[in-house]
Amino acid sequence: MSLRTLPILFLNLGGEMLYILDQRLRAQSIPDEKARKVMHDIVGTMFNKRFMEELFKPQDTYSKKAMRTVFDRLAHASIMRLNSASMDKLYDLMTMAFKYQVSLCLRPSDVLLVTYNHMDAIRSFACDNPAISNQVENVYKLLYEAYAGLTAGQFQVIRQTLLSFFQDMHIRVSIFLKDKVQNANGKFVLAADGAVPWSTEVPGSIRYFNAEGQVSRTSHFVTGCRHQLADKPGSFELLGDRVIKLGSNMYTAARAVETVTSTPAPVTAATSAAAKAKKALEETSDNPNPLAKAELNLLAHLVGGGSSKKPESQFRLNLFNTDEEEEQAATQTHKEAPHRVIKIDATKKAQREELANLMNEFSIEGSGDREKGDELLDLMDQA
Amino acid sequence: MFARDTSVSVKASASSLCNNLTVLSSKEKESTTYGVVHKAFVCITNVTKGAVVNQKQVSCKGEGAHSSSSVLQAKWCELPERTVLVITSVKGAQMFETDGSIMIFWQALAESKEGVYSHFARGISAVGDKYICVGTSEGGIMVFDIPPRGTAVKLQETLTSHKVAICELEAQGGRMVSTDEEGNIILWQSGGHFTEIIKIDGKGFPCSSVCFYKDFIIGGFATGHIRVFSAATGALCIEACAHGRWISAMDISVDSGLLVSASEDSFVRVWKLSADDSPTMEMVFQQAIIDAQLCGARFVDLSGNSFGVTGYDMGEIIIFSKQQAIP
Repeated sequence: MSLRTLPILFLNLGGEMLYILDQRLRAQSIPDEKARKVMHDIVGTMFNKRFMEELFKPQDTYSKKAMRTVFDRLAHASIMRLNSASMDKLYDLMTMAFKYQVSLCLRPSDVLLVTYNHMDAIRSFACDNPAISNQVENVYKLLYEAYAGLTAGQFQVIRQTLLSFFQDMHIRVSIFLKDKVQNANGKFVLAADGAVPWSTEVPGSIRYFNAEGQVSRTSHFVTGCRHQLADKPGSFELLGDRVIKLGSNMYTAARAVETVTSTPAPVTAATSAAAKAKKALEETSDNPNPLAKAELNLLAHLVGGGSSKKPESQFRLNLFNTDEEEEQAATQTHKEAPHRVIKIDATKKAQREELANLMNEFSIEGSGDREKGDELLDLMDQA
Repeated sequence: MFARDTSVSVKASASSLCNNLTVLSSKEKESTTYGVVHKAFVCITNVTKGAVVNQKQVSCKGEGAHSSSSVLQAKWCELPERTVLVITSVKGAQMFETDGSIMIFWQALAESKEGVYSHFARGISAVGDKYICVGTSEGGIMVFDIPPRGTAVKLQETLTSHKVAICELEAQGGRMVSTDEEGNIILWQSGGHFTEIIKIDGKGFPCSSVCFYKDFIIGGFATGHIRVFSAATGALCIEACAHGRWISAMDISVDSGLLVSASEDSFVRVWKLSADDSPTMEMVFQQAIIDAQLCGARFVDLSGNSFGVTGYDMGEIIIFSKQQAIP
């Protein structure tokens, strides 16, 4: 719907990815130097000047599949490797976190403040590398130019487009469940009380106007909620006060984060059939946008361009507490959704052309289920 | 006053859009048909004598439209001679026969101008005896002349008074009211050509939903306000701080003077209006649909005895009906 949604979607999902990777790199005691390299490589690739310029051009939002592919590549832009179970978990966490943030925005323009919160954190991840810092600051400028002047109505269309991207995703995340911001059915808890959006009023009064336009009488009704006015709006400036906390790093406190897919084991035949039908339907309406292909290629090129490191310096990151858990999750996903598993194989060492190099990291399992949805990956094979 | 009734389950969840519920009732057949937008198609559910008898999907068709062309709104337009299902999307406007089976007409949007933020058609209303109007993201309102039967739909004119995206259109006989993203409201008189009667200036926030009630125009705003204006002078009569978030949908039952409003704050509220000498407004019912960002609300019957509510990510239409009076 909105042609300006893609940068917001990409930057926020990317920001969430960096939060998680940062936390896992520390939890897995990866040496500082390597961890810093990973963060710098990924931020550097994400914020590549040419890619950002392409991203900010008005265009449709990528399909879910295309977006996932972009992040698969981005996560492997450095010396770190993730297996498919870890990558699935990483992507689920990222998307649910951003869905939560978009869902809880009081007013549509808050999605821009959420983006700025992510940007502020990314800037601090890259603060010791002047070249990358410059790239990040450049995106602040692009964001300000593209979004700061938008009206509430235009932001609403952006928010609706984002919510449409996240529609029907109900993955449960332990950090949300523990904090009681997500229900067991995967829906987020919306507080009935609290601040109303900036430049609005607390509901409960009805004002009558006379012929002169003056308030002649005011009546009241009871809402049953405890609302208050907002203190101040957030700032879109480079170093402004964003006011809202949505989009800031929630992994700073050391705690494990689990995802639970929302359709647990005991599903009746009828509902699982319905779910399947829904999924099939979903996929048909999710055709990759042809425009996205071109950008995927660009990104692939950029990612490929940066991957000239020696294979022996690579390491594997695990999004689970132990390797056993990871394996378990892997076998489970194979059973549940064999068609969507993308195996990321880090053992190949061929160092030919950059794209060929990339392809070695991507092979697809379950080729029986390969249909038109895999076009994007086929594209890579042809390159 | 109202109580939860049996919900109507729909095959796919409702998208987060304003006015995302349309209802077509037939008293004789004891049947009600609901239309809910899910991404690129409209889910149509028919309930006859309390049982779901038919469910289907209607999606964008036509040149340039593909399966991922997001739909922004769907509405049944009831003209004296025929009822047309109108669907607006990022590609344009489509008109279907009542049941969605046959496409009657397809109007593509012009190519988007350079640097636009969005490109879509939104805002649908039947006006008078033979017109259907559809708004666009550029602020235009396309006026279509609909033949009593057949496919000879004609684009009669495009009204260009609005400068920003249209939010919603509504009509009362031959009068039409249009609202836009900056909260401006224009009252039109249909006829050979549509003429502008009154313009009410907005305050920069969208007027996402609008209703006619007798000689009043009622607007539901992004700021949670419901404002009642005189349709004769355009003067503001009542301003209610009605919701804590965006008002996403409103509907009125003129017979009973009941107005239903739904908001992203998860509340649905019903208001009793009266307009004997000066208008008054009173909240008579409210309920929160826990953790649901509401996106549609519509009375199921003209008498205002029951209404349906939809919410983002929800796969059901929640129905509220008037409680039986205790004898």
